[in-house]
Amino acid sequence: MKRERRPERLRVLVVEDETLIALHLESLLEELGHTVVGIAARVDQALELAGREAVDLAILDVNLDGQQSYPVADALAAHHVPFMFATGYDATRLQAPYGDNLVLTKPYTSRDLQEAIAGIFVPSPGRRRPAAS
Amino acid sequence: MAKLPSLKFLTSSPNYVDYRPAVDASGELVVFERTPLGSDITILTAVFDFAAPQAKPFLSSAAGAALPPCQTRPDWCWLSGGLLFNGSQTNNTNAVTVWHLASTFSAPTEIPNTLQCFYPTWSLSGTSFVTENHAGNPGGNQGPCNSIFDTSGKSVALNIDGNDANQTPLFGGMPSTSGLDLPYIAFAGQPAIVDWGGASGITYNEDKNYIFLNDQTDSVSTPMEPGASQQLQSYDLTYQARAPAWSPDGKTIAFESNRSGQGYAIYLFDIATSTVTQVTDPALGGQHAKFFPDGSKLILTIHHPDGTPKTMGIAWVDITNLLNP
Repeated sequence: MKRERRPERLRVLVVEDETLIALHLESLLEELGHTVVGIAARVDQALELAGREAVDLAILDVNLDGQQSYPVADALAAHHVPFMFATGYDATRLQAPYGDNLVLTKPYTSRDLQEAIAGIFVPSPGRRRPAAS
Repeated sequence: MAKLPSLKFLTSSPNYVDYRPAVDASGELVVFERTPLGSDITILTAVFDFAAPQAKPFLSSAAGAALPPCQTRPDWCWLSGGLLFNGSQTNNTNAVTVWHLASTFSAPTEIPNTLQCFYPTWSLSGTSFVTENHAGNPGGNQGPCNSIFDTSGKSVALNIDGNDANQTPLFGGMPSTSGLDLPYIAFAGQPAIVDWGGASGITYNEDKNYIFLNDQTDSVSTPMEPGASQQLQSYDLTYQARAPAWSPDGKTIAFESNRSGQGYAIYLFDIATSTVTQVTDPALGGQHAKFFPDGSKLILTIHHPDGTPKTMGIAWVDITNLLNP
């Protein structure tokens, strides 16, 4: 799931059902110089966008209005697209095989996001973001 | 004049004209029209984080979706989360249609049979909407009427405006459904009589409306302000009003008016007492007010009081102290 090098300007898919969080995340990513290729609020939207757009990275909210985003993670993993989960819940409760995946813990700052993106592209298996203080 | 409540600006830029805002159910996300100066293309723009407002294109994230180049007149449904808006190729055209965004980040769809339907306004249920229909006036008059459609484009009621108390047909537009939902509708209307609009024929004049109320129990609409009921044969600036917006509790109607002759300002009409309360300074040209979901604030379009920039921005105002208990 990790890459040796990453593009300067990532094309990011945001999967998030909370409008305000999604728009805030989009702003943070743009401030960091990345491009949001799409925002999906549901699993089917995310799968459609992931299949259509060239995606360098995806950020997945775990719970999408009662539906879990693991099918999106499965599809991304099958196509070797890096992704991270974003959740306000306990990161240790991630479903297998994603228990060791990188997690961006809500609420997060621009620096948290920047570090998480940096972390996902370096070979550090099992690395987790600590909960935001 | 009593001190007017202070304006809290979310946007105010010398590079854009920002217009016609709408607040979502959370009360934390506002969508409005943004037009770069000198452009005839307007797009829906979102502003959020009121403490440090950020504005960004609202529909750009619907990658691959067919979007109308011009996006105007947004209205949120607080129950379904859906958004209605007008779509067109450019500004300054009657060739607008109504578009529906079923949920945030989904792909918008154009609603059939809505050509020349302006100001789509949700019913609370989110299954139907009222709209200023310039193609549907059955009398063949050169003016709009308010029609009801469902979100599939099926006509529910072609003309809900009916006649005034003198049995004169009404032109109507800019509808607002009450917090008690349909059939209670407020709209900007005017009797279709010669010279009402200052023209030689029966034409619609968007600056010479009163606000009318209609509950669809009969074919007669009644002026919101009792005094206007005595002025149905000729236009009286005293009652000029348009762009009504019903409060969530159904007790108050916010509207815009140039009744002072000094410019458009926002006013509140208390339905129980028939009293009018001024909210903004006419010198600032306030327009298109809508309530926040908690009923304590209005979102509106207005010039910045310091005069710089001179373009219109989006502001909110706390009206708690102006509402009758």
